[in-house]
Amino acid sequence: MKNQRPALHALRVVGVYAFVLWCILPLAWLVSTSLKSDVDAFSRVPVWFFVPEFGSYVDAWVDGGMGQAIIVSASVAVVSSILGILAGLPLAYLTTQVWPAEAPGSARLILGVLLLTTVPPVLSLTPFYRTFFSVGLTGNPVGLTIIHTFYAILLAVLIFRSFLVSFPREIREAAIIDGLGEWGALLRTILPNVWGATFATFVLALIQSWNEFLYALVLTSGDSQTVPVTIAGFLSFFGTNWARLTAAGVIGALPIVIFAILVRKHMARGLSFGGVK
Amino acid sequence: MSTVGITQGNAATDGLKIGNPYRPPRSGRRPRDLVSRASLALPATIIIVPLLLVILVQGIQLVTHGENLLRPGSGDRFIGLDNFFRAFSDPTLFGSIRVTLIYVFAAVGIEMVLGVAVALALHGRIPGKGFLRSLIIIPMVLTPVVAALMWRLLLDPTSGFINWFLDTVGVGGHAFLADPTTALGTVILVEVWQNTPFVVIIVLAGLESLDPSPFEAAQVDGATGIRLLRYITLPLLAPVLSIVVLLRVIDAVKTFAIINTMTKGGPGTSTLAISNYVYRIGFEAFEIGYATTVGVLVSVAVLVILFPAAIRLMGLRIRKVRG
Repeated sequence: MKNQRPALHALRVVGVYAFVLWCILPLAWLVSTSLKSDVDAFSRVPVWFFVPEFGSYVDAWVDGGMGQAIIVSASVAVVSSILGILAGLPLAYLTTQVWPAEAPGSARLILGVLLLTTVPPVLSLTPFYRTFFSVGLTGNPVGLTIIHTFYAILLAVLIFRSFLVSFPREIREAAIIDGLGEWGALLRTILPNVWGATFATFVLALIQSWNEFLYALVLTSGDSQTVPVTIAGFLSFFGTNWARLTAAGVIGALPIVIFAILVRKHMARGLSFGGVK
Repeated sequence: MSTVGITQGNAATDGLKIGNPYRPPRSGRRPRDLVSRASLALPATIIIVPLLLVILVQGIQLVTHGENLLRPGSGDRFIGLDNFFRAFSDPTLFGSIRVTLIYVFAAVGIEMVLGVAVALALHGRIPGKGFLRSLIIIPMVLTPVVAALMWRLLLDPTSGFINWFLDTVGVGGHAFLADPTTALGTVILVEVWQNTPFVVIIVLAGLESLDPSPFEAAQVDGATGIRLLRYITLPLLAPVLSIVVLLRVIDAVKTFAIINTMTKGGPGTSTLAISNYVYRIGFEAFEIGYATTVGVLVSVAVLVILFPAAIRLMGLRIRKVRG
């Protein structure tokens, strides 16, 4: 790549910028529509110049229930991500450090996790709904939090495993010989070295939970609706009140977009479960 | 600007931080060993095992009964395998399998070609690279419902930007989502918009972690451009590419939010992917028994097709270890 011809280099740069524009321009349109008046937002000919209004944001937040939805989404996402890490890290530690990764027991456990990751959620949608409904776990965020914790555990195990599989086992062995139990060894010798992975897992689980739609749609209602369900409800309720709809969309998406940009460093490895180092 | 930011350093080589592990040695660790090892699996077990039991027990109950949520008592009617017979003669089910296959193949195919091309172009010196990488991430993490809403706005036949633009340049607008011949292509476009960045980010990280020496050797031998790409870059990248394809396919098969928000499976059944069909049966027609049956059949099919590939690509094979 060092002695590339100038024409080729220019072509590369143009290509990359064109792709970035394709990614960003629709979002710019989303944001600008949310700042328009109802009339301008509905105009047949695009209105390019307008004085930004924040009225739609107030409407979406208060009347549209986005404020409430954000609280629900944030609680479900934070609780399920933390529980997912607390349950996933010890299991990943067990299958990479306590047992070597090649051991049959360890491989079987990870195969099970991979199986549950591959299977589409439509398998469990109706059984979970039926059971949760009969024990009162629908219509409030508790049932959804349990399901999101389940998926956060799968995510956490796969990510932590990818980090721990190449981690030297001698360190844990030394700690065990020195009298630390398994939990002590995990907390004192492993955890300090995987804070990056922990953070990455946390944010990926957070994004996964925040964006999840199918279970949220089925398991929550009214005050317990999460952000995507509330926005989808807007769409069928207010039809094409674009200013308010887009304002709700921006409110709902902004927290997660900011989070993602902050942890961009850890994303590739976390996202591919160690497929790239 | 950081160009190495995306890859996480190997934890094992980054300098190990170890708390003081010294404690007086205990004696007789054997039985305690087993207990403390089992306790490592306990937190995950508490959540996962009951849920698996629910799927198993409730699943068997649902597929063998003709339960309809609107008809109390319908859940008590045992119908044996009737739900399965119904599925095998259900044209809508086959239609939705076809929609899902088109969706997965077309979307993942385009995402891979476009994503790899962009990653190759981004690899190397580009002005503003760190900033560009942050921008590229946004579609990928955007809530799918919001992405779908945004594209509905852009595609709106009366006030959407795209139709205004097409009218203005003289092509003529089109109600893309209301026409059965264009609706599926349109939702695939949104899927591609949202998930190509995933391919870019991971392939780029893969490119940056490649060992430079084969490239230098090939360049010394006079290989350039396409030949370098064809014979060196892509073969070295193959493991990363196959994992990206796998993860995209697993994810695309589950598609629900984009289609539900944009078309609800319509017009007719022209964009009715399998998740949307199961949702439609279970929570719009309330035939929860039949919905479960379709879910089970589809999940088994998906696992039979994808799981062997997943095992191989993630480097997980149960080796027959003796002794």
